[in-house]
Amino acid sequence: MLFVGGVAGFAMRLGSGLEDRGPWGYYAAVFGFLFTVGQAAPMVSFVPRLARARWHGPLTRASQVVAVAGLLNVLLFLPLLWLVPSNAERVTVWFNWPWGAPHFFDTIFVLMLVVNGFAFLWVQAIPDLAALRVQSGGTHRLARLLSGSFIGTPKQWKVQRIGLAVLGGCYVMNFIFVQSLISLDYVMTLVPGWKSSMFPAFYSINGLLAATATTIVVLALIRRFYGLQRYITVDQFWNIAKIMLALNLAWAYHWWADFLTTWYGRVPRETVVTLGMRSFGENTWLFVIAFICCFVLPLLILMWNPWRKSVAGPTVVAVLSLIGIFIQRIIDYVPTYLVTQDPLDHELHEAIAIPWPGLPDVLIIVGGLAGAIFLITWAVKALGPLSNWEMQECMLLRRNEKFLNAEVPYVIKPQ
Amino acid sequence: MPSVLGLFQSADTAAAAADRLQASGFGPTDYEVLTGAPYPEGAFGEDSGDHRLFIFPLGGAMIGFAVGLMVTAGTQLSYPLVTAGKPILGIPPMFIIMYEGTMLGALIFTIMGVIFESRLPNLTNDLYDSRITEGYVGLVVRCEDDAQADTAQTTLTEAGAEEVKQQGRS
Repeated sequence: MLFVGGVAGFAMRLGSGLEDRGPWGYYAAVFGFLFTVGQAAPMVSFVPRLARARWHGPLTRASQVVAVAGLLNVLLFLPLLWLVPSNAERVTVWFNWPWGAPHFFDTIFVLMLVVNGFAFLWVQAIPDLAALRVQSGGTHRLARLLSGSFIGTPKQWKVQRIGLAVLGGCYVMNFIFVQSLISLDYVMTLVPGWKSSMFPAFYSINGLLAATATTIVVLALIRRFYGLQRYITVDQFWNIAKIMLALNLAWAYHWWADFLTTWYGRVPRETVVTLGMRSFGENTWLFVIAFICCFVLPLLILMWNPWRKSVAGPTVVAVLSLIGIFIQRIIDYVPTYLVTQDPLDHELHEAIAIPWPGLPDVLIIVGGLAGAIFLITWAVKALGPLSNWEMQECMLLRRNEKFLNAEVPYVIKPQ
Repeated sequence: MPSVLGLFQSADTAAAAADRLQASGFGPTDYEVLTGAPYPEGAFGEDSGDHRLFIFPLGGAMIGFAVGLMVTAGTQLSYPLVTAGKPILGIPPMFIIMYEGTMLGALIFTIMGVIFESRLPNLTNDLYDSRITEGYVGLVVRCEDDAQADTAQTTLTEAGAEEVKQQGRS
């Protein structure tokens, strides 16, 4: 229902045409947020696996399943192609590239990241789909189609493990690159005179923070609504909270590096954007909320061991971080799309205040989020809330043994 | 060729059965272990076999890079129009497109590699039992003749297999 409302909001917005990108700011912000959140989360399952940490089993599905929101991201991305000018009409990293820049190549990038996310999810889910195929006697069509004839031979396991490593590596490389490119082509180069080497990095850091935050939120919801308290323990929340805290600090550091350079340099074309529009000036209140949600409160909560080593602490911080990132995306996109000056001008004449969203914007925001949640919920139902084979593997390779007078967990890490 | 499947409730019994198979003259390549979860390589003394998955992303990346290079350098050198005194080859956009080509090639070929190397789909009808997905361990012995299949069946039964199935006897 909410998603249908979002489609109605999109139709209303479309009624005002694609010539003027000003009214599309909130739409672009929704895309920016969902593209950050939906495409980032799968990385969380890759990194602990690469480090051979044995606590990641229960969170693998929660992080990878978010990749299905990529379907919505592709749809949301398409109208943006009509909204932003070609590289000839602004200063971009594409210089004077004669054709397809940025629209064609960016579309390929976005599609590639989405396909990579799906492939990563599929390879990870093959053994579980194979089990489903066998248990259903071959009648489960989706499982039969996607698991082929996987029967769990040593070679198949080996290929699956290496496939996951390669696809995961590709995913991280693609994600950082695509996020940087989107931040340049769909945000920064639309504003005359805004040249910041920190902004693409800051944009990507938002993505990494969103990866951990989204995974924690999905994990907490799965744990709560599927009653999986026995399998999803505080271990997963505790370990991932440490990474999230580091990313909260990195978020603040990247903002500070951008802010300090601009503030100290006092170059008007930089200060009007970074200080006047993005951090303080016209939009101070929004920035302060983002700063509190992405840095101050996470630091104050996660710095305490009992809060960090709990389910509630990291979940609250994850929700706060997602709110902060959403507001950050509004700051990134909405004023940028309201700029009416020629992007080739030397500088922006005055900072732009972010207006309250209109009815179509509210419908698009709610509908976009509802659509992503619907897709993720469907995927969790189709594939299951936990990766069974990975749970089994983690249990196989972890034993509690006596060490002197204490009982400690032994983790086997095969070479 | 006949094949024999022994089903074991625990991994320990299956590992002991694999040892007995080897003692009965079967080599590490003559049998295959079927499990519902990945065990460390060689846990059952089996030969997990070679794979060529690494070649796929590497080959794909090289093809993608070559296509990226052709699209960028090729087009610009084919129509060498000097714009505003800038070099014919613009390195930053070339880098982006070549990177895109490289990653796209690696990605597509990795997916193909997983499908090919895992033999998905496999058209042969191998012996299998649904209990393997519930934690049982299966040992499939590929035999040259019926006599060898009988030996394998006896060995697996004596090793504690809960059930032994045969397929492909003449």
